[in-house]
Amino acid sequence: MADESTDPRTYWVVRNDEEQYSIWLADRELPLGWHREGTEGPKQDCLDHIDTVWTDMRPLSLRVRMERETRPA
Amino acid sequence: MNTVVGRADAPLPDRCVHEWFAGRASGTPDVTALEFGGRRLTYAELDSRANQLAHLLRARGVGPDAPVAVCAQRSPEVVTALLAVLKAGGHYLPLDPEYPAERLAFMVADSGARVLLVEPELAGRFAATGLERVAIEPDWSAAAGLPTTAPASGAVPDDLAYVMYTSGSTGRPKGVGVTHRNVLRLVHEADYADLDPGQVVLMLAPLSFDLSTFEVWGALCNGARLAVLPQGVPTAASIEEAVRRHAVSVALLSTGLFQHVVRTRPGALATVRQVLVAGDVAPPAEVRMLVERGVEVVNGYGPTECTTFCAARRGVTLAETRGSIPIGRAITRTTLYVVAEDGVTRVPAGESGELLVGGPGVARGYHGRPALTAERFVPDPYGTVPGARLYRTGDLVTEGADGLLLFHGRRDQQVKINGHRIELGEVEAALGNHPEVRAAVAAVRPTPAGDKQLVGYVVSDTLDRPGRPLREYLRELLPEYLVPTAWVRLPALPLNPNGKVDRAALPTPGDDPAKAPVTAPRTPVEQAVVEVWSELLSVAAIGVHDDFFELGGHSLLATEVTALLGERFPVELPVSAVFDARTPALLAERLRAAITERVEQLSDAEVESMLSQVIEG
Repeated sequence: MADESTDPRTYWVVRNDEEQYSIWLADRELPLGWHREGTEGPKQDCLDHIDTVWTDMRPLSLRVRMERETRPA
Repeated sequence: MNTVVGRADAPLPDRCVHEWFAGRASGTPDVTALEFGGRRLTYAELDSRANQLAHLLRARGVGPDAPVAVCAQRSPEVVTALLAVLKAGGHYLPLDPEYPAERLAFMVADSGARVLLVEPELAGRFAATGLERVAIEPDWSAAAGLPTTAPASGAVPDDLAYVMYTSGSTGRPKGVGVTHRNVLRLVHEADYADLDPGQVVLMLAPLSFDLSTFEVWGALCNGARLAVLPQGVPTAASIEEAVRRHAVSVALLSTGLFQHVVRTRPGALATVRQVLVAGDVAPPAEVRMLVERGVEVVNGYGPTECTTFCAARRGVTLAETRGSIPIGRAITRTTLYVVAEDGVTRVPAGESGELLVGGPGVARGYHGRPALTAERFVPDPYGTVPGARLYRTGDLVTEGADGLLLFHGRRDQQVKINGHRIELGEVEAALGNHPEVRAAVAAVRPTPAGDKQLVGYVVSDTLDRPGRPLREYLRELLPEYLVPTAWVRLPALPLNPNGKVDRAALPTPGDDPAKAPVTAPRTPVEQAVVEVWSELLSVAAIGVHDDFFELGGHSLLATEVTALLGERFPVELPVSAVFDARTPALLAERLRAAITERVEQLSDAEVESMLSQVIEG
């Protein structure tokens, strides 16, 4: 088993249209509906970056809907 | 191609759990929804009570995205409370009353809960949390003014239904956020179990354990009856009694409990149509005993992150009980992939790989833990739904030639004992924080009886016999299942050439030459206790000062201790006695006291007849 803490590979930070984040091995074809966020590097760096930018973990469509509903008429 | 796809033809209805329940309540209002001892609640009664409680919660600010802590024992009230939380638009955070205060406080703070639904007897332990407390059974005469119709919850299917905490490898428990859609995927048109209005489903799982999702919503979203097991630790006797009393037709037992019940009361589950076993590797011998009696056994598999189940083997065959019992195929609206080390390349049938799970059962993620969520919930490279995610289970499986999956073990250090997920890292982190511990490792080793036990290995300059002080220390921090039951003090941790702990070189507990000499039983009662322990623990030489849990005992065996002693003596000790009086000497004292008390209440004739019984028996 590969030891994940010493994984030497480069990863991308990726995001889907619901603004959910994940990581993906660099240079591998991106799955449908996922986009590069811009950050790349060692796995832990990518995860640390996600910890700082993914501050609201609700899917985007839900956030938009809730904001619309709580806005005064 | 080895993609195991569950039947997923129709999309899930776009509804919340409580809306689905309300549909049942209006369709069959007079049908019994809940049974608890001699009490019954119809669907209409449950619905209107939950509506009133939901109004009470709305008035305290509960709405979409608001967590509500729930701490109570099994009862109709707690089911009403869960439903009320959802109807109010919020999500529930189940708190196990048995957990240490510190653990509960962490979960409350981490979840952000501000309101607590609590049983009056348990309210005191939350005094310091700042939670607004609402009685789980409100004064119905005062609540009578509240509307019995549902409030507008404002919740949508992608809102959370509950957050449940599981062991975390870095020493911090993680809260899995599960949505309404996730729950519906488990209970709507389920193909792995019979969930329909004709069934009676037994409720026995602790609410903090996600098997309760299946029990509660599997029954109530499908018009079935939920039979609530009496409070207290489930025992073979209480389950047998409940099965008979309520004519239970569907029961889900965690592996350890399943094994215990079938071993001690083989007939207890014989009249149940369908018995599901889940939480750990299914025990072939006990499954066979049930299959031979004509019971349909379902081997369920799934992590909390995929909402209770993602695969199941329905109708385990006798042939399958001769080897490892398969975990079967993907359940309805679930997709499973078996992938190689790289995390994306699918391996052919027959080859071992990590199991990835897709579909609407995949949870939202870990509450407040973006990095951990991003690491475990990954882009789906195979699906047709844009932006879909897969959960990496960390479990190794192979797909057999028959298309059924077999479970092999973990990729990492997560282990399971009696169905509880245990991250060894969490135990080690807690131990490492003790001021007198220089280094610590936790591992799972077999007891002499062949059961799994959690062992703590510690390096310490000052703790000669680390078991007692460290167990007391950990019990303040961690739930009982994360506290090692056997301890070994080492001069240093064994290391491999890379400088990492060599787990294979850790000694088996009990080989400790410094162990105190065994004190033989001094009275017939002590002798009886030692005999019973010996039989259950498969340990030959037990001293009267030996600790039950250090010898490999656990809560299920504790129920067997009281049952076997009850056969020898005319008294019934509560299971808690085995936890409080942990040595044969102490337990024998308890027994003597109970016998004396019993005899004092008897007439002379009764004493005579009891004596003759004991002598003849």
